[in-house]
Amino acid sequence: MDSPTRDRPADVPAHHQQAGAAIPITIGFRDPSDMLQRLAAPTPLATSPALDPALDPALPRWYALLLRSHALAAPATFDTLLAPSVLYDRVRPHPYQLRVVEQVLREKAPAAILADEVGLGKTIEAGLIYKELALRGLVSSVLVLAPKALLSQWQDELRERFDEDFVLTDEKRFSGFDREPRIICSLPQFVRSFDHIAIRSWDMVIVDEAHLLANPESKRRRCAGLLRARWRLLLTATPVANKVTDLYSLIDLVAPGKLGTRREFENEFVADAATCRIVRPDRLAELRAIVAQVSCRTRRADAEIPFAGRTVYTRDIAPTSAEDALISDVTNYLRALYRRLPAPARNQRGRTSAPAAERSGPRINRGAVIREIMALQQSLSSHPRAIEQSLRRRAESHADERDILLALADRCQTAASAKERLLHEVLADLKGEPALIFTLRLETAAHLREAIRARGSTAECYIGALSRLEREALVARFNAGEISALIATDAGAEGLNLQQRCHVVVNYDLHWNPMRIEQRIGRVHRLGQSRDVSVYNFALSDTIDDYVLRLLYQKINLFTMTVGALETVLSEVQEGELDLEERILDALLRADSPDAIRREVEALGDELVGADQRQHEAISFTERVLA
Amino acid sequence: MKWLFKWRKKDAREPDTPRSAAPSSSAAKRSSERSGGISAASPLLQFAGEALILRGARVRVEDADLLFAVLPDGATLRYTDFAPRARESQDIQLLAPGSAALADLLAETARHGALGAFELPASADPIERARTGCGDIPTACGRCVAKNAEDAIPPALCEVCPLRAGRLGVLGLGRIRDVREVRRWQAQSVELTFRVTYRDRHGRYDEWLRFGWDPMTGQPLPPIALASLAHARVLPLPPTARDLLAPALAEAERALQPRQEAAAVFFAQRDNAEYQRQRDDLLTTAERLRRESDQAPDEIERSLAMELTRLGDVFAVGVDAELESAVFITTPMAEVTVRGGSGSLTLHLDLGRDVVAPLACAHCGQFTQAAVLCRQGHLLCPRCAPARTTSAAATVSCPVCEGIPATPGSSASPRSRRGKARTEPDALTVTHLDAMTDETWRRFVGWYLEQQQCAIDRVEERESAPIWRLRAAGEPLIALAPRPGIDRALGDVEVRAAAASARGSALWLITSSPAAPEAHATAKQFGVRIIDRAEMARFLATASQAHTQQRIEAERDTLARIAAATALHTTLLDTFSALEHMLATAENADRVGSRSALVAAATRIEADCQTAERAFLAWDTILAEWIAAFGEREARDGSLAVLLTPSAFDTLGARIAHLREATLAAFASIAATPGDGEAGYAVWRKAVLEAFTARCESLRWRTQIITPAQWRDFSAAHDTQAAAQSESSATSARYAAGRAAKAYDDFAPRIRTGKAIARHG
Repeated sequence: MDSPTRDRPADVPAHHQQAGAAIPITIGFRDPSDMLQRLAAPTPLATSPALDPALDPALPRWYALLLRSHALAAPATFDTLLAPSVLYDRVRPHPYQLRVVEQVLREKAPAAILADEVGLGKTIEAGLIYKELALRGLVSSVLVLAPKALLSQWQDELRERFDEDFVLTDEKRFSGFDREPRIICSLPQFVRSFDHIAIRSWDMVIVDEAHLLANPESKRRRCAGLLRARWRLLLTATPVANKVTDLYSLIDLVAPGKLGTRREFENEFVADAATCRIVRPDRLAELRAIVAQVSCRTRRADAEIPFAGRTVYTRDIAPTSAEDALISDVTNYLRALYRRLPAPARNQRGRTSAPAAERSGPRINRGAVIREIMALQQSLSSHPRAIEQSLRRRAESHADERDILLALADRCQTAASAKERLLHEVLADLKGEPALIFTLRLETAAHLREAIRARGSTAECYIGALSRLEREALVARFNAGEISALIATDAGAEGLNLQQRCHVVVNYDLHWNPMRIEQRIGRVHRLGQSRDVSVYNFALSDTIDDYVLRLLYQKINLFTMTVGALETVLSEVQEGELDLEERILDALLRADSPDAIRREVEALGDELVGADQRQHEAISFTERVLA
Repeated sequence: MKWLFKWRKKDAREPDTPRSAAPSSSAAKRSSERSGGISAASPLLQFAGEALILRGARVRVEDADLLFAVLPDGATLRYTDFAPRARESQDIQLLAPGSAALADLLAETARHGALGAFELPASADPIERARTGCGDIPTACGRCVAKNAEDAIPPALCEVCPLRAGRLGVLGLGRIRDVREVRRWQAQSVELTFRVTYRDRHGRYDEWLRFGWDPMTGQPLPPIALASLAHARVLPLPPTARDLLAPALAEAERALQPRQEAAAVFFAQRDNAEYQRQRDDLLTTAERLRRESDQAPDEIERSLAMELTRLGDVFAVGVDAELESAVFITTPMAEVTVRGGSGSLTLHLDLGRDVVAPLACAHCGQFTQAAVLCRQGHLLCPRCAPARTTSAAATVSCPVCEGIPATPGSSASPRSRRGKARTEPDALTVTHLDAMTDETWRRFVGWYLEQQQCAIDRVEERESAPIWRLRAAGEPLIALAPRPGIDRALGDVEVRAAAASARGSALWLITSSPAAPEAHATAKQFGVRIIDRAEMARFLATASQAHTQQRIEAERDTLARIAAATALHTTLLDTFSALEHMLATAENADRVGSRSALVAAATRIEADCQTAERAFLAWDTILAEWIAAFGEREARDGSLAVLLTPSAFDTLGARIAHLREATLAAFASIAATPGDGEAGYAVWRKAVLEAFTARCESLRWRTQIITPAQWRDFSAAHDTQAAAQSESSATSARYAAGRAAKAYDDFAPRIRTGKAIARHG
């Protein structure tokens, strides 16, 4: 595909060549430069058939096979989908998802709104549509726009389920919008970088949580309208989130001109011009018909997904006295470290954004320091052995703090872990039932493995450093009953499916990103799980984990929330530069007292609850309009 | 484990023995061809097995859907084409269109088969091949070499024509008596395979086109049969390979271009109506935005330009050709002399390809499948020496014998001339249909049938051509789409054969070739409908203008509706003016002289009032229908939408005319009553006239609310003052009616007494 194409103006009717008035035609005859190059230098290659296939005595038979292989090319129509077969070991779409994919490809192409109810797998549908088009060579450049909270999830899904490597714009390997073929970009980044994004024409654009584009005056909606893309997929469970005119905003993106102007739409369909929340009863059927032309919507009741239930056990335990003191001292150390950082700027909505210091230089890399503090905090919450290792590593690179760090590290050696004791109790209660244990730190994973083994059980670590074969072997052993406890890190557990034998997930370390929690549980709570899933959450009393668990996650019913609803909630509260994890860390390290920390976390919880309520309202409004 | 298979190892001497030769064009469809290398059930496993064998692997079929291979380095591979089987184990790779495993194998095959040279062995006996590859054109027919006027229908082949089986036909050769081989030599040629990718709004499909080229004659050659490749011997690339490739590529590009264009124009034509509809949506919306003035004008224009570009991107049609392989072929050639009953000729045979080279015209040098042999032994193409045949003999005037020099361009066929004359076609034409590949033609036929409102049930693959089984107006139908070839007409033979295959079902024969008169006659006899070149040309002309035509018709329809509405508007206004005039002139100076006359006048007015009341009720209904005949809100383009058809307006007009007469009669009757009288008669009569006048005025104003003549601008077509006046007049009418009722209440007791006297008297 690298060689140039000589597009020649076709000897075609005049009306086909008139810009805009006719369908543009391109007729190309690609220069066979590769072939000519091979012919230009036959001598050095012509010494051995291994180097030059042209000397292979089997050449005529290869040639015959090549000619026969033409019959194996992909069928021209979408009557038979290729992607489900190709992705046989990665994704098993539900029948309703396949119906949506077929509908979009056959009837709604090249643009559609995927408006399934929450939790029915719109990402899978969009991924299948993309993969189908990619396999047929119809799509190569793709831009995925999603709220910041969902970027990693998109990347993971596309990699795990669709075998597609998309790059995030904040990754080091990202080489620019004009160069990367497959990009996942946050909505704020999309607006900021629009000039670079709009330079090229994209084969496909996927917008997740597309109701965020409903406001016609918003910059992101205007930018989305200006984006040049052949295929456009908008994903939202609530295409009519606030106003009936939300529909106009979205439909005008996938089928420009179909509804005329906004005012025309309002005149035609809206009964109350002031609030735009009521559709004219006599035009409701017509509006629904128009929506049906450009969107696919599956309702939960129609999907009939047999999901197992969940039971959540939250276990808090008082830290040992040595542990308590250690946590207090290390937290104070981290607090001091954190407070030395420049404060993050706050935008008009009061949300934090990139700090001014970071923007204007020199130059504390706030992000890097935050990541380091976060890692230390995770180690501290995880296990004394984990924080010990982390402190010693830091001591090596920070000579000025060496003494204090080593002193703290030394104290870790003698501190017993209350959570570890709790884990042993839980495993004993489970009586050999296989369990998937999640920890944030490798040191903790290794320590727990040894500790469990020392008690006569079988345990293994499932971490990112394992090769594919090693992982497969571990899963096979676990499923065969040879291992009773699999201790995994979040990075290591990507692509892990254990629903066959396991129904117990232990969040030994709590993750501050709720999406990660959901992904952890999803390793066993997925299609094919026949038993109710038990989720154990561990936290040391009166620590930040305890607050997060009780004031944040339980407040929004995270562990029993409808699958998929969390994404929408998070996408609403996480629009600034700081993600939820950083905000929790900020709450922990900025506050001076446990009460202040609690209040901060509680406020964050209220924000999530508000977003959850708004989502419910949007869902019921959508139901009213589109049901 | 059952070992139900044989180990197969790559053996250079063991040939692949394909059972059938590939066509020159192979589109993306599954094939049941099997090479015999291994005996896997599916084409995918078959292909994988053969590729692995060529790599030196040992391959066995473990199950109907599972292939096992041991590579030369000892590594093992398992392939399946069944996804559930692939899920069973991580080491089984799935072969499916688009899968990585298949893509790897295809890439490897493409790498190995992309470039090379080989020698084809002689696969035919030249003597036998010459006898079977060439035939005498019967003198009794000779239509395939007859002269045709440029605009005449080209000849159809007769039933026994040697050209029908792809042979050469020579008029004047006579029955072949002797064939002798003169010499043999080796010739070099090039075969190129192009992957042509077609993309449009509906997706993409690929087609592979093979192009053989003889550098000596510059003539295209038929593609090599796959069977003959099994015995081919590899050669080093010729030193002149690059020099051979360049002109071959140029020739191929020339040959491909019309096919690409034909497909591209067809795909654009296919989507044009929808494209224009969506484009109209955008233009209308932009126009509306301009009127609404919510956005800056340049922003609207920029946005419109962008949307139009985006629409173009969505509907864009692309046809790309890419060279996939180039092979340099050395083939054994033979020259033979064929002696027939009436003459002799020299033939060149490609023994590797097993084909007879076309004949070269002794006058113009062009190659031809059908030729005429003059008495002096000059072989001439029909264009240089058209034959005049009778049932007994053929006469040929030989330009070589007569010393007439060849004129450049005189050799071009009528169809070719048509092709060259095609400089500014305005849409898809029959010439495009001629140039289409079989796959594109097949798609075109499917589209054509859809345009004819046919529902295609299925398409059956037959060896010769596909058969469409469809329904037209609920009736089952079969469609065939034969392509007799350039310069050939559809003949009666083809019609008879098609009718026989249809077995009594209704049959359509769709072709881009002209149909010979005898074909039409036969079709009539068998009840076959022929859609030939002429009919197809008419269809294409209509189809290309479909959108424009639709717009014109829509515009025409709108204008007709507006004209009808305007006429009715005038009628209504005239009517109400007439009614008002009648009421205005109803002042009558006569006085009722007697009581009985008073009673009679009052009775008459009462009756007329009842008639007029009924009429006013009907007028209200009519005016409600009149108002409802127009869109409540402005149309997309800001105009007044007229909802009623002209005929509905006509019906309304008839009702208006009838009602007008009835109302006028009632008013005339009232007007004829004396204007003055005692006992409150005059007051009552006057009040009645005033009430009716106000009501007529109200109706007139209601009529004037909408002026259909101003239909292009919704606001201008609506007179808000008239609406207000109508309301005001209606109020006046209600008051007047009240006054009339009061006057009647005063007058009525006397009338009742009078009536009673009259009744009893």
